[in-house]
Amino acid sequence: MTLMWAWTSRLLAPAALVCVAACGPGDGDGEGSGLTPVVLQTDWYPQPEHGGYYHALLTDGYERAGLDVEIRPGANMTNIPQLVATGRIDFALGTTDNLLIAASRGIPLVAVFPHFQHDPQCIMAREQAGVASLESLDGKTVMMNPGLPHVRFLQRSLGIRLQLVPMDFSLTRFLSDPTFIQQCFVTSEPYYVGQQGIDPTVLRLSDSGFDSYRIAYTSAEFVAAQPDVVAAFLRASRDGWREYIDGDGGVVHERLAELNPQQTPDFMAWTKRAMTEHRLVHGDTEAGELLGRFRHDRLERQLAQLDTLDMLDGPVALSSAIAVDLMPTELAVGFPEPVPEVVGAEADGAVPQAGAAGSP
Amino acid sequence: MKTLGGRGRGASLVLKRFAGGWGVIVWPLVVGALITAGWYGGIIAFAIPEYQLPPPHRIVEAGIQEREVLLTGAMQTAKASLIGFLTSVAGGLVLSVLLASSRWAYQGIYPYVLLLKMTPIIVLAPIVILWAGQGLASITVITFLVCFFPIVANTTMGLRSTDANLLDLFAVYKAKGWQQLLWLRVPGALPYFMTGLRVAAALTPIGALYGDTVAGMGSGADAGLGFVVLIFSAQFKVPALFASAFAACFIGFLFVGFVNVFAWWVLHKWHDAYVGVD
Repeated sequence: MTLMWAWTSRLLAPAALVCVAACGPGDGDGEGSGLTPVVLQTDWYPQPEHGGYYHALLTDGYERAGLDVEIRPGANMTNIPQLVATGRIDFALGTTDNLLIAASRGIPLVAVFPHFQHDPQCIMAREQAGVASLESLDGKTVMMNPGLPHVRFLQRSLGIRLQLVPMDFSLTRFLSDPTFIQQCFVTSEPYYVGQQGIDPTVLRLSDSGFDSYRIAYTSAEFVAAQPDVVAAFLRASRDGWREYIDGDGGVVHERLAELNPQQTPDFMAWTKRAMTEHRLVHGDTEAGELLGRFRHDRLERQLAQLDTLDMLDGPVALSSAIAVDLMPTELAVGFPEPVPEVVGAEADGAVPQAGAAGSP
Repeated sequence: MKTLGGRGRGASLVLKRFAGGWGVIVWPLVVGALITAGWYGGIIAFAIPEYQLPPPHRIVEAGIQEREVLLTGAMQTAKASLIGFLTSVAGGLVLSVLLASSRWAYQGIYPYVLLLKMTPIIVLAPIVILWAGQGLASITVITFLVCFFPIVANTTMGLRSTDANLLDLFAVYKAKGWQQLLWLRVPGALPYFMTGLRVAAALTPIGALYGDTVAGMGSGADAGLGFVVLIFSAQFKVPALFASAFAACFIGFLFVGFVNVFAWWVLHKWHDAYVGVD
């Protein structure tokens, strides 16, 4: 299997090879200490967008929860969901849209904790590009990850015709060509562009109506086998994120600077401010959002959108794709009642309708 | 993986079936059947889920389902491959003749050819895109860079390894420089050139696919195979991913097969490796 992936990756990015070799099972550091060793695979180099997890790690929040967490950075790895599903990694970071697509293709993953209420993915352009709204991207060339479900949503559901250029995760072309348009993180690239004296237009993709949570997820097998571990990870991560985003971020940023020296204190402070300003972590509380909360109606809507976009291979049950049973009640809004009550109410059709129930 | 190898042997041998015997057709089929049986057996025995290793029939299904995307992708990639390959052959030949023409040219230029070879294409690609822009031009340049060196290295070696006795003979008959090149050095270098051509042909789709993943362009449905692979991979379409791997293999076999036939056509009349084969 590893060979299979190695072979495809060789065509894509040789860096992925390294990962296949490196992503063995956890080393079992915690054995003997009574802690359960778990691996959290992130989606990028160590950065403030993973701040809450690092906070829980550095302030012993995970340890108090009985976990020995190893945070593994990784960039541009496309096979993480498969590695989680096969149990080579316990937790990983991703988005609900990809999780639902994976679930529909028989990759049994479970969303555990949404650290961002909205995806920080954006489109960034300079004034010369003539992009004032997502609609004005029609007919333009945009550097974007072509596999991003957002792309399909913009093209099919909003009728925006895009000429795509694969993402190279650099700003070289953006800086050299004033009409260049590219995908970015609202919490990252605009800072570097600003350093060059450019004030770009930044359009959040979540405003398109296709609105994902950014999440930590695990496998259905892990949830079934070790629900306590998953629940402990959820609680400690939530505390970590709250303390990180409400605090000054000092401990975390110091450690991130060691792990990833390219990130200056100024940049990390800026990123943290951007996360706060865009209410990524706490969400818009007036709109019923809360740190760590999943709303059933929103997920149901996303599922319907993915279905319309023809991106689902089979049916997906939200109750099995989200670790509702392990979540404190205030974090799961609008999900059908736990099984015993549903069984009793089923006869007269009193099961809460998907998407209808659960206003805050 | 094994299947790819198995099919490879099958395809190249089929091309040489004039070598005679049913074995060249029967044995690959037998081995192919065994591999397929092992493939299914492994999936059943170890309960391997589809997202790890899809069964062959699911790959075929995915290939049929995504045929339009795969076909346009393969056409785009084949186009980039062909242009990149032909330009690298032409450029490689010219440079080789230049390198073989004089000692100072060889000593002066060859280190820089090596330097270009040693610079990983992953480093060169962003620079190429910066200069040639996104799209077919950059992809062909990337393919060119990948194919160029094996042709130059082998052809130059061939042009420089002419038999000294034959050179003396040409000197005795007072052959001019161009006569020596055209009637002695070039024919002598042909087998070397063919070796370079074979290596380059096998590398061509790799260059074009990699080029696609970094320099490709499209709306998602009309892009090259590398671009398609990116999308399938991001959306966990694992059977489709395998199907695109086979599509890429197919392009590779076309190139290698074409070069093999070409090499046979050029060399079979006189070269030791081919005389007696037909």
